[in-house]
Amino acid sequence: MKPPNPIREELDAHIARRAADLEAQGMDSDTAMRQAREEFGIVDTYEAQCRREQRIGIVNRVAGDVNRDVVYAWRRLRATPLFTIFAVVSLAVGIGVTTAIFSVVESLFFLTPGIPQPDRVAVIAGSSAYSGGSSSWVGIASKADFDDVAGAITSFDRRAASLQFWQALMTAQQAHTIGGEAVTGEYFQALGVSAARGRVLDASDDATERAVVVLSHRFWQSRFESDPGVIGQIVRIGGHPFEIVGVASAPYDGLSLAMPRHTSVWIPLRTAGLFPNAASADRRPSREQRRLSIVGRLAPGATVPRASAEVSALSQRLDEAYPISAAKFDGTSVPVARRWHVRTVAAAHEDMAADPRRFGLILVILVALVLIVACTNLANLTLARGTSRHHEHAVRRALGASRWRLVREQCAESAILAVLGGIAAFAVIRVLLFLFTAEIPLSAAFVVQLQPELSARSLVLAVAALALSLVVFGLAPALQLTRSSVRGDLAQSAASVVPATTPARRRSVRWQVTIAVSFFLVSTMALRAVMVEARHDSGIDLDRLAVAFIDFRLQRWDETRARPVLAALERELGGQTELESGALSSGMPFGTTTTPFLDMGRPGTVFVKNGRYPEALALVSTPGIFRTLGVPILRGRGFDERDGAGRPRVVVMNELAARELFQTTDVVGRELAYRMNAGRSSNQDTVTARVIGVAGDTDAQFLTRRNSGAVYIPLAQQYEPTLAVVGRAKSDTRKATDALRAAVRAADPEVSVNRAGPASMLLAGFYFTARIAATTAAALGLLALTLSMVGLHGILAQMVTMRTREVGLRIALGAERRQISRMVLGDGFKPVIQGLALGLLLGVLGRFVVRATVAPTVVIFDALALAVIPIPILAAGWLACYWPARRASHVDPNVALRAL
Amino acid sequence: MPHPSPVLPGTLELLILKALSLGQQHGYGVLLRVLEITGGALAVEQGALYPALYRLERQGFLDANWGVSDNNRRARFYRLTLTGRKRLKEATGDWNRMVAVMASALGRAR
Repeated sequence: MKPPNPIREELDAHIARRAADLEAQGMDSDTAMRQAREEFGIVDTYEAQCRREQRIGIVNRVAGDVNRDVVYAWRRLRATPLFTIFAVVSLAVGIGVTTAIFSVVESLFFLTPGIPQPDRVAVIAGSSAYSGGSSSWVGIASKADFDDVAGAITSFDRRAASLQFWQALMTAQQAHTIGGEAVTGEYFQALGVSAARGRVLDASDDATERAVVVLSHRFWQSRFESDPGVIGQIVRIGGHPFEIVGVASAPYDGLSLAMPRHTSVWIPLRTAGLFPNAASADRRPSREQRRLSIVGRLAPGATVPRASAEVSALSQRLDEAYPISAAKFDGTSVPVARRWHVRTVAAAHEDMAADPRRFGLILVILVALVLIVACTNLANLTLARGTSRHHEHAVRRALGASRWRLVREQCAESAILAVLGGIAAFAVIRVLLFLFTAEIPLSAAFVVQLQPELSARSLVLAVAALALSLVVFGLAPALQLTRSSVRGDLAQSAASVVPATTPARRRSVRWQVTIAVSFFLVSTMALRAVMVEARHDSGIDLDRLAVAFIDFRLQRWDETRARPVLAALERELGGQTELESGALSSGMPFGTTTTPFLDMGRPGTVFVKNGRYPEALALVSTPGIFRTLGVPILRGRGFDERDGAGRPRVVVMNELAARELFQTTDVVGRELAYRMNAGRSSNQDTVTARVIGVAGDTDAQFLTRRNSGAVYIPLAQQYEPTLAVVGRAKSDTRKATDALRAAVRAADPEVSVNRAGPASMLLAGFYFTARIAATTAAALGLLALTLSMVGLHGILAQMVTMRTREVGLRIALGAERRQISRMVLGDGFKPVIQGLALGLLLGVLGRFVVRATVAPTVVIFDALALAVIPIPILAAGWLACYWPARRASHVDPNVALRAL
Repeated sequence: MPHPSPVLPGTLELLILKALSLGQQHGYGVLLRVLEITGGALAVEQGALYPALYRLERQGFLDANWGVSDNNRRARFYRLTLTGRKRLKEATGDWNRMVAVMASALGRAR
């Protein structure tokens, strides 16, 4: 047992011995002691000096050990570059890809309401004004209803109304079409959202006449580049000047809570009346104008059921005093009760987020599979490496290396790998997040602006998973040595001819292959759609085509105001050097939802709704449309300058429309009577026009579908307020998009571009997304396959090394080299084949699920996929097994057996 | 004891190594040996021995272990390590060369 202060004890012992010696020389004990102390000097000083020496020693030793461990581990990693590279790649891919993709998924599907205490903030849900009064919390109350509720309700200590709107916002530099909310004074207080810059709206804004606006943090970041000087600037919303007074704090994106509908600005509710299409245009009685949502903060002590009961009672009283009705799909209306009740924002958000979250979860599972492959692969690699060093460890233990030393070396190695992998992973994440910052169209009218932010949660998870596999499987062999007796290890590895079994690791290879195969199957599913699109001729040439959308209704401009802009815009399109050609049109043949329809008829006949007279797309365009879209004129001519306003009305029909109405395509010179469809166009008079040409058919409404014909009408002769500006680039589509924006700006800086981008993306949205899905899934599959094959190679190589003696013995006993090679190949291939079979089986099952839930058209037994997918898998398997097998068959029996 | 002379820096360590080259000793034993081999010609506070011992231990020249002394008292025993022995040899060589150089230089000056 060590005494508590050994240094002191040692020094004291010295003095005691000296004193004893002096006593033996004849001194009395007191004098001897005093003399001994004097000769020794100040004990405390020397003790301190000794302690310092000791401490320096410890520090030096630890530093030296760590340094030596790291240097040694680094040297060993350098000696096996393949292992190091694959381990680092596994880490980088495992952490990088999973974190990046999960970040994207999280930013898309796992949104939070963005307010503090969402369970204390409530919205009032009830009958909406539309859809026969279906339950909603958006647009349930009129301003008068809200005023009544706000005055009476006691369960809310803050309450506010919000009106969602969609308007053009213009800054000095640019114009955007944005979503916003017009709110009453207590809105931000009720939600508990504060200002990141300037101030938020408050009760004082209800009272004054000032038009002020608060920007959302996201909008401020993306459109104002986080400019701190934005406060005090004037922007025009719906044509009216608003002063920016603040920026709301970060995560809150508006009450809508639905994915693509971020609120970009908040204005006082009073100012919403300034907008052209606002309340003044609503001719319904005031209680019927239910366009407000009501939000409130629960008063201290108030519970949701109590608040709900109170709100419900209030709504019944309102029903008695002011009965209301709701519109149905067929245009009639039915009387409804308000049926108000209270939902917390947390609950309302949960409802809306459930579906996308389920979809997101599927993606998360896919990503988790990649992480599993990366983890098992890393575990395999380190385990194989550890096992192959088993003998080395045993020898070193026998020579006196401490267990601690061996474990520490292993840790140092893992730490180096972790650091290198971490750096590589960081690069991967950066690149992927950059790539994913894009607009992704999920359907024609639904483009998602992706701005993923690094998800700390997933980063921690991925790092933890991989670090765990690294440490656990890296340390396992070293720790194993500390349990078993060294002699046994030495003896066994020196004399064994029995192959060590590695069932666990072979099983893991099987699962890795399964996962890779599944990815390939998913990829081929999406690939089918891509191939269909690639083979299909849509009738218009999407290559180098860009589209931008403008809407004069947002500006509330009528034809007189818009005409000069249209003329200027047509001129500007012609002047853009990046464009080969350009045109304006009331929509695109497919991929847009705003394209108007018309009812076709022969002059003198009566239009019968849903009767024998067919509908067609109405493409009200400038003459350049045919050239720009690449639609050929098959008969007659396209329209040109001759067909201006005031000239005889003309149209160009495509073959499908002509055949539908006239049962022939030889229709040049015939007369067409048409009437624009209700709802889509302002002008509903019947027009008679002469057909001057027949154009080639295009897909209509959706890519790959030809549901209806199309009639091209000169824009000069008929005005349409919602327009697509389309241009074909000379070289680069991206430049064409910029050119379109530039042309619109040059024509009139107050016109806002709604959406702009390559036609291949905006019009063929689903296929664009399918292509992304196909390539992503294929890339993930390839990744999983590569990782698993590297792992397989490692296992086989190590197995061959372990079985060298066995192989030597077999050869010595007469086995042929071919047999040996076949034996190793068989060993390696078994898990690959099993994984392949399992993967294909799972893939088929997965397709059943997909067919049942998402896409009923999915083919269950896709012969092509089933035939093609095994090829890369088997090739990779062969590649992984070839070298180990070759090495095994070249074992020299003399060398191998000598080691016995 | 005869009149002691002051200790030159570094010599104490050398003397300790020398003293221990004769076999393991505890601190007081080292002191006695040093006094013995120097004929008591060195003036050093006895306590100064210990930081030197600890330093030599840290540098790996000595090994120290607790044990029991002749008179049955606990004591920390010091022993030369292999490197310590090597060090003693080198240092002795260095010292002798140094002494020769100094002696001849000083002798000539006189």
